Amino acid sequence: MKAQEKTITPAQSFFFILQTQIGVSVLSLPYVVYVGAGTDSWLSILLAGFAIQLFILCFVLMLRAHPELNFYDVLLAYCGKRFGSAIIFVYVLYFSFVGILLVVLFVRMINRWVLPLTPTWIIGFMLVIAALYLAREQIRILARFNVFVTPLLFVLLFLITYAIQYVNPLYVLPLFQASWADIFATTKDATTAMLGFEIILVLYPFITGDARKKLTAFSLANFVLTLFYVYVTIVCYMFFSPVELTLIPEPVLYILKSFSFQIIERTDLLFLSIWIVCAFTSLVNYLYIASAGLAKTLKKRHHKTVVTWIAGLIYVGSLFPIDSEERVIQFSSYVTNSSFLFVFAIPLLFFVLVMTSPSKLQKFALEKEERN
Amino acid sequence: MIVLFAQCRGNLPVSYEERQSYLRDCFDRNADFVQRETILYGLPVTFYFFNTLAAETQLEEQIFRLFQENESVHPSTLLHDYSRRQPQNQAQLKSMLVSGNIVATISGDENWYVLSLENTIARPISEPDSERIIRGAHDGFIEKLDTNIHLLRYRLKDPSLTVEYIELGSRTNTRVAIVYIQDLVNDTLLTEVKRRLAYIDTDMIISPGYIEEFIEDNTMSFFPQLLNTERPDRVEGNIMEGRIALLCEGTPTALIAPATFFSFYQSPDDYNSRWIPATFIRLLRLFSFLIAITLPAFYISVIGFHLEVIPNDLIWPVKYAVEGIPYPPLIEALIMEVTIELIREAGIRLPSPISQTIGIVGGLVIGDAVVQAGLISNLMIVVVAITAISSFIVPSNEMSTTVRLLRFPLMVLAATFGFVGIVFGLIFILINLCKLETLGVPYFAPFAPLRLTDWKDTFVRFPLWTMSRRPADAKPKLIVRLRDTRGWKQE
Repeated sequence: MKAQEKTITPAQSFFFILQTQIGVSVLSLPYVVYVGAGTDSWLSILLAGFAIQLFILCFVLMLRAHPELNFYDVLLAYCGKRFGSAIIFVYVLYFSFVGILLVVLFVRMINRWVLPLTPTWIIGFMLVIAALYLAREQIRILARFNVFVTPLLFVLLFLITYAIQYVNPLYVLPLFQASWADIFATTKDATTAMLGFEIILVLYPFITGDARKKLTAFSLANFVLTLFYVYVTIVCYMFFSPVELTLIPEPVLYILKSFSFQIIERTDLLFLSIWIVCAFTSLVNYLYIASAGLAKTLKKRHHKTVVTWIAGLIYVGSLFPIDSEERVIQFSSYVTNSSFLFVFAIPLLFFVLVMTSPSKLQKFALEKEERN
Repeated sequence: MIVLFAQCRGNLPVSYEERQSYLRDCFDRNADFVQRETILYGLPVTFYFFNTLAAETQLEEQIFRLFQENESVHPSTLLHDYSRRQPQNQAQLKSMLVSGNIVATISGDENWYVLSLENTIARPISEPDSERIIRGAHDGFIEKLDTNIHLLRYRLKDPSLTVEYIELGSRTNTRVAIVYIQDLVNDTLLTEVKRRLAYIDTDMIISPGYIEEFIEDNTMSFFPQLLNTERPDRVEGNIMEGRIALLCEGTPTALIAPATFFSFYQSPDDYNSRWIPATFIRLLRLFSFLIAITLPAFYISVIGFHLEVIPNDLIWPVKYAVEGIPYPPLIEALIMEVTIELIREAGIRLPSPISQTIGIVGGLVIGDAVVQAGLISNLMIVVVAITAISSFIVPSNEMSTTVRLLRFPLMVLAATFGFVGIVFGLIFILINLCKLETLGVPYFAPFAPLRLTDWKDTFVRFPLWTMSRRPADAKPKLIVRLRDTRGWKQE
């Protein structure tokens, strides 16, 4: 009895996107945006969520006409075989670099908070091996995993909500202390924490159902994520005074560190254990879409054969930039800046192309159908 | 008795005398091979059989009396009525003899007469030791396949309950029954099971364990993917959900395919008790799964890495217990876990009076002395004891073994990376659970993939009248199994 190889439901895609978006950055997001727009920066997160919603709409419109094609196919259709493959290859590199960044940040976080003496390369190795073990599977198995671990987010939500009894709402008031210019400028930083929705560019043809259902699932994922981030950020801003916030790069963990339950101390360790799973799923999903792209350029039927290479690349890559704090920050800014090109600019360009001259894509779709 | 009468001689000896010498040559060395010649109706008739397999007394009581009563009738007519199908070739003839049939030949007659008068020796039906329950049916399968099928048919008087026999093992010729309900079972599932069984090419099948390893999807996984049970009611419940049971001659164990993770945590007891306590017990079992695989690892990582998670009031007792123990927590835990496993294994193999002694030696002497000697902290003893008890709660022996095995890699990971190691270990286990598929059915259903309606019979047990649909994992043909059973309320 062969189950369908490559299909996930729209509901599963919701969890898929949510788990990709919630990654390493959830711990430091309140701090990162605070630097930009002060206590008003939760507005920036809202704006970022709104902007991403527009892009999700564009992506769905772009891929709607030919639900069996993904963005990689669009690239091939409009840039020709050779140049298209080259761009896909660059995308693969970009996704791998996001993976490297995830591993680097993950390892640093574990190193700083849980295991200060354990060599970092071994933690990274464990993460990459576990990710490889999952990412080499069919997409529906990834989807199952993503769905299963999502309830853990409720534990995170509960732990953060527990902080509400100690908050001081006056810290975030009055609103609009920062200028609108700052709020808009900070949107850029907020967006980087919400990256991950771009996996729909690759996953789109694997999702069953019509475009409307898919769009609903994507939008809901984005909506839930935006609310979650806004909530976490506001709780952090009300918990710590504005002066404290400039000093602590991981405010979420510092909140939890102060709690003491009757049965367990150091709640931040519990939180971090759950967060490991969130970071892990992000890495797995990036690894999957990167290997799907590489399989397409190399004309392999299954991504299984190439996923090991990408995992190797991510692991080796993660060993390099780790030696100093400045280089990590530098590397991080490179990747996030390039994400504007790869996640926003290029797909938007092709969105315009697909909208203006859909015939080329149609021809490509026909050719592909004939080949199968 | 079925009479299939075909005048086919094949390469079998034809004449009466040739047959006599042929069979004598074949089985002459066997002390239990009997060749009994009598004169009936003036004709020499020989009966060939193994007296250890065939019922000689029945031959005398039934057949010979029949001949005495009908002296004027030709023996071929009488034997014809009793005879089963004809052997087509030598191999068939031999296999009929070794499966307990009595073969008769009449002088001047070219037919073979095969009488199935088997000497059935079977132990009485009793409750399986490994799957005891408190309330409900107390019968269990035995080593006779026919009795086991009887137990199923007796419970499930459904005309569409289908029993198919196949023979596996070129030497053991073990009869294997495929039992399913024809209008419930998914056809692709059934053909897939038969397809896999058809590939079995071996000379022996001793127990369902052989079949299990030949047909299961992932042999490299820790988790058992086919459910083993000796309980007819458990088989009944599962085939009523559209699954397939494989029963094997010579063993009381039935295999159920496809099994999901949660089917290992269901016991017939759950459906005999009220649903609230049943749910409580289900939750307890799944909680025991988590305890059994993570508690020693948790202990190791707390002592070795994260002493700060212990609440203030507990710090001193823990410190007092651990202080002075010469070994790192991993070694401490391994010593105790291995000891428990040794005691368990010794207890199984030994006769029950001695195994009690082993229990006392293991539990009291080692448990107490090891703390007194300062080798192991008494906290570790508590942890190991709770873990051991939790691992025995699982209603299936296979899953219990899996659970006990899984804790060791987790312990090593915990000793190396603390909580991070445990989380990664659990991630690996979870990926494996998500990955596994038995015969195309996801193993971890209805959790991954998520199917909320099927949660009614997993870690909870909803009232029976709410379970109006069969679980969807085996993809049964008819999904609805009950309608408004409590309709009297509306009147």
